[in-house]
Amino acid sequence: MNMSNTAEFLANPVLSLVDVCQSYGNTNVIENLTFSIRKHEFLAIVGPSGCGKSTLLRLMAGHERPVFGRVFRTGKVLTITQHGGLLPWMTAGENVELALRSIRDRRERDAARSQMLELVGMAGSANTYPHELSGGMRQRIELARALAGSSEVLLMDEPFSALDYLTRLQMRTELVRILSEQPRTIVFVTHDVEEAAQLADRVIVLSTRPATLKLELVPGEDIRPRPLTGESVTSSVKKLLRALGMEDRS
Amino acid sequence: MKQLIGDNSADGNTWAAFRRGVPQRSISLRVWSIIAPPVLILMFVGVWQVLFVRNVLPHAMFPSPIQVVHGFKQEIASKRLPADIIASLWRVAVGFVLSIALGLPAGVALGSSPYVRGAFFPGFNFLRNLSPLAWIGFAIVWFGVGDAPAIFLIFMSIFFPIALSVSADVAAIPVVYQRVADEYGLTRFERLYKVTLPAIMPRFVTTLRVAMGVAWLVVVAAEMVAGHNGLGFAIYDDRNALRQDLLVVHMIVIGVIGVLLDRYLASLAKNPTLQWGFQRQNL
Repeated sequence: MNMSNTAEFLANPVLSLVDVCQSYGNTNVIENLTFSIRKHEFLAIVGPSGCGKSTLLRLMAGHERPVFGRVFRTGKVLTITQHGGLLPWMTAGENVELALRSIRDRRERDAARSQMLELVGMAGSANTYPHELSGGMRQRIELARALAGSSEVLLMDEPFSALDYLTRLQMRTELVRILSEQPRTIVFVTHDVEEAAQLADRVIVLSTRPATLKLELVPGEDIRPRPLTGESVTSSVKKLLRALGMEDRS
Repeated sequence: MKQLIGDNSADGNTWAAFRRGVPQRSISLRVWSIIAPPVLILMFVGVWQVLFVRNVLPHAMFPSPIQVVHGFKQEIASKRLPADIIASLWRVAVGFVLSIALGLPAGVALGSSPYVRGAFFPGFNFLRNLSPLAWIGFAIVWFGVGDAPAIFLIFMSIFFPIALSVSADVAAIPVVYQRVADEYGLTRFERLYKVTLPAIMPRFVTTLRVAMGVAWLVVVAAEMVAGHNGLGFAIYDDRNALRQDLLVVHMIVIGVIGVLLDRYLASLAKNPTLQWGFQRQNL
């Protein structure tokens, strides 16, 4: 997407921020941030450490109110965090069922749970507790729960940052596959520019604190995840690193 | 310089244990934990008997282990010991359950709401700092002699620690769990039994163990001053009759029951739904 399409998104967005400012005491964290997200768009937000990315997600989730500006959203929003929001006293299946409580019929609920676990490749782990699973498996279960929650928007706060590199690569492919079966609007906060370039329809780069919009980038190529060594990823990574103030020495 | 920091290659047992997936250290620790305590107890009893026979321990002040064994048989034969055990256990059970039934909701309320905490905590703190033994006078006047004053004193001893501990645990529940409850639209009741109570349960097991220890200490004191039976009253009776052998019998019984109760409560931690709270985080 380019800036000329912004007006179209603002006309019918799933989530919009208009002149949003956030501060804690005398510290300004976010300053005049305005952007929108269209239905089923995959938006990545990158920025330097501590610039206010997680604050931005909390504002979008409605956990915080901005001191100035407005946040609009349609439908339900669910969050997936890097630290894992699975309830550790519940099995993987019970965690997914948390999102399926509206289904009264037990058999229907079990079927929906199994379907979700199967979707994320964890069909055999329904009775396993989160502490018995690896980091990647826990993220899959959390994703299954969020998808079962029938929310329009998924806010993902550095969901793969605690995983090793190979698992991260695998999870990128898995996420794309799952979203092709269960499309959702994704806001994906990451500090990994490569991840953003591989997965996102659009990448927003935030400045250092107070966070302002520094760059809006569309990596191109519809096939996702884009090949790591492909032209669109490498050129996007260069642009993103430059925007983040990192000189490319390669 | 190369330094060898571990070599078990010559040890066949270690290799076999490794292949079974059991670390060598835990095997020897387990064997040691089984063998060492009875050996130490037998050594202690042996030294005690020798000191008694050689008159190092004055006979008017110390019973011998053999006298204690005879006293134990006598107590069993007269059926007094089982009756005292049941009486004390009953008082502790009622006081314990009552304290949990009221302490748990009080703690949840104090931990969840700053308004409840602001209103009740000063008074709560005042009462918490009163020694339960200070209530003995009122306990006898209000309830007379028997089960009720002991139960009351147990309640006054452990209700406040339970409520305080629960309130601290509730206040420390990670925000991420509260957000999950918010985002998935849990009702107040669902939030209580699906998030708040399970989140505090691992620590609550430890709270229960501490509370049970205190309850077991207090029941002895309560029965000494306001009882007509029970292990505390038996100790009081032994002292009046100058029966040091029975004193030791009752002390051993109190200690053993205390350990068994603690072991039972500690075993609750093995419940699969609580295991997460006992995992050492490798961060």
